Amino acid sequence: MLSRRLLLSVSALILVTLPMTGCIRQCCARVTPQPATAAVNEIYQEFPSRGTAETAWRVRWAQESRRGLYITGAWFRRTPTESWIRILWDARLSELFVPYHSGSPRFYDLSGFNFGLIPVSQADAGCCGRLLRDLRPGHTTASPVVVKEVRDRGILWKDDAAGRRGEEMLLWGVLDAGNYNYIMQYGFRDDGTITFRLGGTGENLPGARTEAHMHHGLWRVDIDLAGFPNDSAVLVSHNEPVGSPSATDVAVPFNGGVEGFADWEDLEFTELRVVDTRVRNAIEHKISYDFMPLRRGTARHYGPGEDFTHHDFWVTRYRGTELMYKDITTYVANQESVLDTDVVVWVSTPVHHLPRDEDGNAMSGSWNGVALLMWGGFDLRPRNLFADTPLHP
Amino acid sequence: MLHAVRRPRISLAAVSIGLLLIGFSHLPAQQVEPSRQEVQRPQDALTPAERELAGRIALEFVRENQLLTVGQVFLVDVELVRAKEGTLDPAARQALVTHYRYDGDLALLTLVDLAREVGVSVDTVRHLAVPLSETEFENARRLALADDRLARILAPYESELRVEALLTQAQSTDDPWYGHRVVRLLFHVGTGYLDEPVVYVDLTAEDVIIEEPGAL
Repeated sequence: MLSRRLLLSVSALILVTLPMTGCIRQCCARVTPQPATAAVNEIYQEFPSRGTAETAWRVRWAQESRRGLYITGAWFRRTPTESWIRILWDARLSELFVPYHSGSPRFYDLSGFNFGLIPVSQADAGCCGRLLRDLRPGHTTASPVVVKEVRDRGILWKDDAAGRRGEEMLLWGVLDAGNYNYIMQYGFRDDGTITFRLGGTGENLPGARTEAHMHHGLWRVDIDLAGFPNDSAVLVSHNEPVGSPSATDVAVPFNGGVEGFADWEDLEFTELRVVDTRVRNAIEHKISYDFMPLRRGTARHYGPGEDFTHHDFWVTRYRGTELMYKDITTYVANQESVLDTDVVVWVSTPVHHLPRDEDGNAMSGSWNGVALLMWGGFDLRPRNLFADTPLHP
Repeated sequence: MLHAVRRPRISLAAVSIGLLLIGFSHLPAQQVEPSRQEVQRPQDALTPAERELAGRIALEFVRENQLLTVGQVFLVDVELVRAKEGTLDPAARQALVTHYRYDGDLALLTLVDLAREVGVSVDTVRHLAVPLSETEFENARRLALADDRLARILAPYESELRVEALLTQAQSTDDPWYGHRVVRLLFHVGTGYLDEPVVYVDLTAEDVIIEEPGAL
């Protein structure tokens, strides 16, 4: 029988130890063990993370200076017995344009210099996150530079009798762009959605700490639904004329079916859709994905050579050498067809930074503080990928 | 004589250590994914040797196409052009090589076939914001630190100074910096950045500009 003294000591130790840990591993979503056949920098995750698998993602990632973290392949599986469906060939931030309101300076924060990902720590990843190093020959990193989080993402659906919480896998890294750092984050959700997020944080520009500016995320998404080609780009809009009690939603070939641009119209809930012309779900609907922006406003810039900012969506026919968002107007000039072919979608996600006291101050003679994260991005959500509600009994 | 049976006494110290070990096992150890079998050549990136080869081939191709004029040309980027299945010979490796030519503010974009070690095509784009090379950064840094005004201001921070660069573009065609390679230098000291001096280096004109804060 333990003595009273020993019991007291044990209790004290528990009280001391638990706050130190703050992490109950069993509360974390479960990271799926990686198959031995997985390629270098390939990640495999099943959902739900605990229990019988229903859906799964297979994702390849890469990182490089001037490009940050990017995705070099993503496949989704709707059921454990089905084959993988390719969703992405390549997805990345193509540029980060940061013009200041006075007109100067005007920075290109992604490609301007040899900015790369900075090391990440367990404190960054949190209790449940995991740290990844780049293991590819010639690109091996001594320290982890990517965080993988598999986590609960809140309620997924709820009816009168039951409900379910959703999960997602996040991959994120931090680009060092001088005074600013940018979180480049890709989320792969249990329902087949992919989220693209760019977050700005760090010190406001020295010498212009209180000058407003725009952080313009410019993405290149080479979407290859069920492989390539056989994808078509479509523009979807909602129309509710003034004075009319009814509304319509229309989907038309993007830019008349050829390379070009489109703008996000708030009253129209504009979405760009990529439809596979061959592959259908179990009830014979063509599978597709919708690009759904998350934005607080629209940015346009008028310096020389900045016409790439004059529209919100661009679609090109795939060419492997067309990689620079800044040169998009050249890419679309020959107006090749974007119907039933291999398409690439270019998306603009601006974030307006109006400095505030929370960014820091110079009261003590030197700057003290950092701008808290400001997010921009979009979701790539499946449409008719499933024939009925996924993750539902 | 009977010997008393001694029960093993669990010492307080042993229990304490045991419980501490259990507690620390719940601490989030650095969760680094185990390494995988490496491959010789990544399918999504160039090796350092390939990058070097691509740069050489591209420079020669640019020369053959009479695009090298008087003045500086810098290699600023090399990127693998990933081949989709069926679009290229699977053994093919193509790279897109970017040079920046100061004369004319011109980007030279050369497609290189690494398997055949030849240039395939070259495009030129004027006033395209292409990356700053390491050499250009060093040139900017050297020019700036050779400026007496700057040397005096930064002298107190010499031992802990880290210089960083941000490439900037002109705001209009009337701007004297239009068509020039201009770099804003940042001075990182300790855990933050100096507000002063605000320094731009015009690499095209080889000029160092020190601005007053707020003049931006």
